[in-house]
Parts: sequence; structure tokens; C-alpha cells
Amino acid sequence: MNAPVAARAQSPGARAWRRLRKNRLAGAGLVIVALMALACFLLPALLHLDPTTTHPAFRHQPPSAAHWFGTDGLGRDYAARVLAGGQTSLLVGLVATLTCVVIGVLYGAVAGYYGGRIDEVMMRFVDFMYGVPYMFLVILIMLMFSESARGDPVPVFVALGLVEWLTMARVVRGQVLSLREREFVLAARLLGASDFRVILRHIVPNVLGIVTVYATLTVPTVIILESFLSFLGLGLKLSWGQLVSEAVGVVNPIAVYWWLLAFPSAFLAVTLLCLNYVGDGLRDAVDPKGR
Amino acid sequence: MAADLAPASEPLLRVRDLTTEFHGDDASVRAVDHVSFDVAKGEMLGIVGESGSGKSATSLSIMRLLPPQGSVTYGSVELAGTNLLALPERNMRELRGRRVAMIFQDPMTALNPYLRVGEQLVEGAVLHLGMSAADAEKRAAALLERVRIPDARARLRSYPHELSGGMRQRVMIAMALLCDPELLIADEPTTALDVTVQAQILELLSELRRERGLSILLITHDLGVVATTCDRVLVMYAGRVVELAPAAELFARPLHPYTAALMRSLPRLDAAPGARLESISGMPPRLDRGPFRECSFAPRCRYVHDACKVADPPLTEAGPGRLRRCVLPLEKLG
Repeated sequence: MNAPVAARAQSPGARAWRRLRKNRLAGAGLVIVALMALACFLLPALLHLDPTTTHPAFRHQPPSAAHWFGTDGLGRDYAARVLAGGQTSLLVGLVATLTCVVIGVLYGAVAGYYGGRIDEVMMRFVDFMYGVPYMFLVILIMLMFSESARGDPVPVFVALGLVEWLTMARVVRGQVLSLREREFVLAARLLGASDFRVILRHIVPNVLGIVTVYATLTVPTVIILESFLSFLGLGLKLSWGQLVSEAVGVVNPIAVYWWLLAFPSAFLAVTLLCLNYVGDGLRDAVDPKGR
Repeated sequence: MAADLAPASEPLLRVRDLTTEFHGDDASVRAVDHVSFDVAKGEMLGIVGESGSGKSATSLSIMRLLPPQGSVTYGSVELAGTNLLALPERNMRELRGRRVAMIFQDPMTALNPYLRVGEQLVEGAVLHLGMSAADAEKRAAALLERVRIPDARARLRSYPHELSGGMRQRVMIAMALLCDPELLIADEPTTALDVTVQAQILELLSELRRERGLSILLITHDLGVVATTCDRVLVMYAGRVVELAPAAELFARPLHPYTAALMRSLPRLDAAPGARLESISGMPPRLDRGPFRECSFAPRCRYVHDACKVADPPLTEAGPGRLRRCVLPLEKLG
């Protein structure tokens, strides 16, 4: 009875983190993504790289010691452009995902917790939104912002967040449906907690594990979506997707400017792959039985 | 009838003709059927019955936390004169945990796995008594010590998965008592625990009752639990009260065939070696077929006779402080 309390109490979150670190693929993915983010945000400043200055004399230079990734059609340093593009791509992924987490978790938790007719109405709305072609939605949202905001990050964040929260809401609602039957929810209500309090304090922390997993998997989805938007000319001024789209327009059989396509594509692919591994690893770490 | 039900002093909890129904797609089930009882201040009343007899539905009706498909269709629940069934939800919320608290069967699932024990424990005190987190924590630590959890201060930092079942049930009890409620509803508090821990928890509940003048409504399917701890016992069958008696008298002489059959199906130390343990044959009646036209226990009763088939017998007085729902003459009961 009098055994000393274990030296460090481990929260369920801490235990999931421990399991995640044991997963090599996910660990490597996490390290690579972290390095990628550090590189994108720190290197340009450290190496005094400038993605905008043009050098008409050095157009379409292949990679060299002076320009590691070569230069583009306007003689701009391509390494600087890839890194700056990474900044916005990663930022879009993060911010849009956060938007979708906040909306999706609250929406799903409310629908799942109240159930019945409220749930019915709320989820049918989600079904409806699923039915609307997302590109149409995104374009519509982007058009609602003024012409001058075109290429700004904010409309893109909003548009992508508003499209991506649907899946999150469904996932959360499914979890909450089973959580609300658990006795600790009844126990909290028996103590006189209001619905609001039960949702925020007892339900939401219990879905955060699965939410983290889906958020991690949403980041690459959002990045890809943004790239696609860029490809259509609706995305950001400078991002990986936009660089790829530009490169595709320039590359032709006579003059193969391979570096223009190769570097942003490689960065994009590696980031997406790693994020997916991290997400998978997280899923196993949060729910070890669900493999 | 009411006079017979009431114990000497004015009751803390007065339940009258409580009727709760669960509505399915095409049928309603009357889980609680005109149940009446009182719980006096400082009294421990046991409610006994098999699964599906309406014990838990009764407690959830009192707390007004029935699942959405269930509703109280008739009757009243008064706590010190206030009708809980007519109270606005807001006031009801203030009352839950503050004046009436509840603990349940499975302490394994009754604690939020993502919150430290301390965080959950103080929730009630912060909510109801407006205490600061630090004060509430002091109070919680003192209570944990009172329910005999060693190293209480450190335990506040633990997560539920680090505690054993008995410990968690103690935490639940501490949580329920934090705001000094007048009534504690214990719904099968020891069912998920092993026998030694069971005895400790029951002992603890009895002590707390004496110390604080706490009234306890103990719901269980275990006659042994009731025998050792309760003042009076209410036996439920098919959603109705079939017998009410002081605990000692009930066990000395059950006056309803169902109660008697329940007792015969308990293993006994003085039974002859090799003797078979009795069981009650048949199944409890279905509750979705409308009102009973015969005694609800008749199909399983060994004393069944013509009078049982005529009508559903009423609850009648059968001695001082005793009620039973049976038409069999007392002397014919074994």
C-alpha cells in the first residue's frame, strides 16, 4: 500500500511521445521535416540569399558553387527561391491545418456530444459541403477577397482551412460519440459540470491524440492542395507548387532546365513523404492497439 | 401508505410514484414503475434487484441524467422539500455534486484518463464552492487521506492509470464528498472490486455516514453487501418495489417469494456438502407489453396460486415498517 509514487507520472500524451520516438521511420521523418523547416526559415538569412534580385546576365545557369540550385529565367538565385517557397508552403500547411483543427474539433465535438437532431443537422451540412466540388469552393472564397489580395497568404489559408475541416469534424464526431458514453463524462455531469465545460475539459483532451494524427496527415494534403492552386495560378506568389508550375512552363525538349523542376519537386516530395510517416507513426503511438 | 414508508424523522429524500420510461422505435419500456421510498438523514437505504430491475434507472431519474430516450413520466422526487423533477436545469446543475453526489460501478472508466487525479478531484469544489484551485487542492488532499489513500499529496499528481481499482473507487468517493453533499447515491460501488477491497470500501462508506450524517442510497445486486451495511432494504423486481423492510428483519424473514428465492440462491457456509445452489428458474418479464395483468413474479414463483393470476397485487403493509407486493398469506411462506 505504501509503495512510493512512481517518480514521474506519465500523462497519456507523454506515453504516446515515448512510443513515437521508438518508431524509426517516424523519428527520421520528424527530424527531416524539422531540418527542412529550419533550413527554409534560417538559411536565407544566414547565407544572405535573396529570392527576388534579378541578374539578367546569369539567366538559366545550371547548379554551380555560386548558385547551388542554379538560377531561373530572370537570373534569380534558385536556392533562395526554393527555400523561400518552402517557408510559405510549410506556413500554409501549418496555418490552414490549425484553422481546420479549431473548426473541426469544436464542430465535431458539439455534434457528437449532443447527438440526435443537432448531430443530424450538423453532419448533413458537412455531407453537403463534401458534395460541393472543393475547387469551386476554394475559388469562390478566393474571389471574395479583393483583387489586390490575390497571391496573399491569408485568403489561401482561409480557403484551405474551410475546405479541410470537414474530415476533421467527422473524425472528431465519431470519437466523441463513443466518448460521451464513457462514465467519466457522466461523472463530470454528476458533479454539476455544464455541457460547455464537459466538452472543453473532458471530451476535447480525449480526442486530441487522434486529432494530432489527422492534423499531421492534413498538413501534406494542404501543401499539395496549395501547390495545385498555384499550378492553376490561384495560389501564393512564391511556393513550392508555384515554382514547379513555373518550371513546367519553361522546361522544353530543346533546353532542359532540369534543376528548375528537380529541386522544388524533391523538396516537396521529401516533406510530404516524411509528414506522412510522422502521421502514421503518431497513429500507432496514440493508439498502439489499432495497428 | 405514505406514513408507513416514512422513517421517524422528516426524510431527506422523498420519492413518490416515480415512473420512468424508455422509448424505443416501436415500444416503450417502463423501467421504473411507481416506485416510492424515503431516505432519512443519516440513513443508508439499500436497493436490491437483478439486472434490468430498474435500480440504476431510479438513481439516474433522481439525478435527472437519464439518456435522451428515457424520461420520467410520473411521480415526484423531493430533496428536503424541493421537487427535483420541476427544477430548472440550471439549478439542477448547481445541486448535482453539491447536495447530491453519485459514485458508480466501474471506477476504471469513471475517471478521465487525460486529467491528473487532482485536477478532476477539485473540479466540484471550484465549480460549486468557488474555491481557489490551491484551497480546493488542500481540501482534496485531506479527503484523500480520509479515504485512506497513502501519500495523498503525491497522488494528486498521478494519472488514473497509475492507480488500482480500489484506489480509484476511493478517489471517486473523495470526489463525491468534496462538496459535503447531503445524499450520496452509490450505484454498485463495489461490484467491480475484489472481495477484500469491497469490504474496505463498504466500511469506509459506513464510517463516512456516521461522521458526516450523510444519507446513502446504496444500489446493488449483492444481498451480502446490503446485509452488512444498510438500515433498510428495498427489493425491486421488474421496475417495481416488491418488498421494503429493515435490513435485519428482511434477512431474518423475507415476506416476498422473490426475496426469499434470492436468499436461497446465495451460497451458504452451513449448507450440506455437495448440496446444489438454488437458482430462480425462468426470466424476468418483458417490460414493453403494457401494465401487468397478473403478479409480475407469478411465472417464476414457487408459491403461485389462482389469486396471483387475477390482478397485479398492490403494495401492502406487512408488519411495522414492512411493505410487500404479494397476496400469499404470510404463514404460507416457507
